[in-house]
Amino acid sequence: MTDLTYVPGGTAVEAAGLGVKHRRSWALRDCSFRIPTGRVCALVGPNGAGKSTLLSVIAGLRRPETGRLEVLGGSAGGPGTRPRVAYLPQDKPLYPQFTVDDTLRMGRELNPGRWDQAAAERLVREGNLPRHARVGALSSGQRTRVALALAFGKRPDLLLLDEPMADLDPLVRHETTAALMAEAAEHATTIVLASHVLSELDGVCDYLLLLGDGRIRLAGEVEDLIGVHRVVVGRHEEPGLPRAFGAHTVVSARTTGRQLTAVLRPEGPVAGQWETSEPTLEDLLLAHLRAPGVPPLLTPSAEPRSGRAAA
Amino acid sequence: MTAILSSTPTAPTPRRSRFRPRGFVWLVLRQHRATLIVLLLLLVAELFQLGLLGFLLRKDADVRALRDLCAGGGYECVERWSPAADFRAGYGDALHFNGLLVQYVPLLAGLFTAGPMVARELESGTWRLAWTQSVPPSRWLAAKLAVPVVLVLVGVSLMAALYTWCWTAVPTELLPGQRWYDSFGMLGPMPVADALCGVALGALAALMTRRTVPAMVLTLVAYGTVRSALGFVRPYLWPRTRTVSLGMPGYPNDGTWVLERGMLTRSGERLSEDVCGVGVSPERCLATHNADRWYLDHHPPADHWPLAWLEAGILVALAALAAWAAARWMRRLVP
Repeated sequence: MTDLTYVPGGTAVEAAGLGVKHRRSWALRDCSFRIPTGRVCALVGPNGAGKSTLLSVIAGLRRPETGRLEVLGGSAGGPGTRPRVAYLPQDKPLYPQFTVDDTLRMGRELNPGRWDQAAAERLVREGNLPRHARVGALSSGQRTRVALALAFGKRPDLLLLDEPMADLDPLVRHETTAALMAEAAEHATTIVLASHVLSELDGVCDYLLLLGDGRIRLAGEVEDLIGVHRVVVGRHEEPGLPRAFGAHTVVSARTTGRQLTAVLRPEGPVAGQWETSEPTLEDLLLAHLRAPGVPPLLTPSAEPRSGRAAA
Repeated sequence: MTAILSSTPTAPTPRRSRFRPRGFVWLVLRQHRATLIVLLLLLVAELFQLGLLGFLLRKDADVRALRDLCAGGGYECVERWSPAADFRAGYGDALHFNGLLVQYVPLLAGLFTAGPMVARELESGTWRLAWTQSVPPSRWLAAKLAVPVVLVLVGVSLMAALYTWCWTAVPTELLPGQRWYDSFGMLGPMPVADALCGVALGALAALMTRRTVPAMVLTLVAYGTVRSALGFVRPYLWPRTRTVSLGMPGYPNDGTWVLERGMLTRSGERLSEDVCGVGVSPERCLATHNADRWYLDHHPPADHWPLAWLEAGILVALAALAAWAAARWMRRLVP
């Protein structure tokens, strides 16, 4: 899917030294990364890692304290950027006294020249939503659908979704994800999807941004990130890590009985009797979430293009 | 299947009227639709009631020939003539309470803008919905200001005009508590300017606090401060008139706003009434303070309209300043 829609060189989001403060403490600190266009990017991190903050900064709802941020080639929230970015916050704010129809009307009123009523109505229809019901009387899953319809109706080039599926039942979640992916593929929409439900991401996202403690830990194509890591399993009885690991970056290591399971970033072949395999996305994420001290890793496409943004 | 069946009605074709509200103005009107309908009905009722009051006032004042009866007569006119007493009993309260309404509607407009209109969106989080659409957030603030401003310009203007019309029908001697300087904030341009100031202060307070109740409290405090500060400077906005006399002047009954009475020394210094006034013999004043003349600083009734327009102008300027500050604050919040 991304092979068809990938625009070489297109940049959806690029940040250099981005820092955002919440009262006294830093919610994001020195974040540098790049998300190419046409990707479905998972934004992952533990609670409080700064996922929502990052999304709201990209959406242009708050200014960063330090660093630079470029969204679709313009400034975040700038006049040329705002119409092309749709943002769905975690709590899906909607006007509770509006009906579903009113809400779509609002989308039309506030997005002149962009609004796609048919797309928005299709999503509402597929959810069998009562169109004259007040939004406040809908279930949270139904509200999510209205909010998604509003986001889609804007025909965004960049769609920011903050935990979008959290209150959907598994069936609806599956359907909604499918609809999301179809829309994204059809219109080459870049999607940034924040989540901590790791199973929700596998097979959906082809790009990854892992945040930990307000910093970027991993960024790049899911395939490439998986490709540079190995799960290593073998017998190991002495205390501490095997000497053979010394040349490599150890992301995480766990011993159960005599068996050691480790996730490595190998710098070459791992010496010794080890069974190695590629990690799954979930393995990779869990390993990094457990080990906050591991040096960050950005694949070349996720490095900010110096000169423009890193200045 | 149901999805397909229910799909027949397509998008309602938007009516292309030139005056159809669009964008954020539509949003604000839709958000407060119920409130606006109720306010409109209340406004119509109030205007009707004021019109009726004014009509009756004029009719009764004419029929009873109260103007001639009390012309130059002073307060005693009420004691002397029973029609005057009847008039006061019949209309005094009606005029008084309508006046209070006209005086406090501006504050209510400010509180409504601060709380339900602006701060509630910031508190409930719907601002993130409104500010991430294609239309920039600055227009959101513009609509949140424009809708109450238009309502105020229409509604409060009509109310103030009708109330002023009622008020002018009354011989000033009949309702001594409602002379122009007592009813200053209810007459002419004052309620409208007041309301504009309240709306702008409300929007600014809401953006600053981002919470409904604190925004309303801050608006109340700011508005109260502005009003009482203007109350203090009001006598100085327009040059006062000083009359000097040898005998102690009485307080005139023709609607003159007396600011200060006292004695003047031979060198022209003013002595307040506490030093030299009722209960102190003129000889002693002359002997101890060398004071021999009385002065009376006042605004004659003719000063009413210059004073009112000046103060209204100050309020409108303050409103513009607060609106500008609110726009600046917005720009601080979002890129």
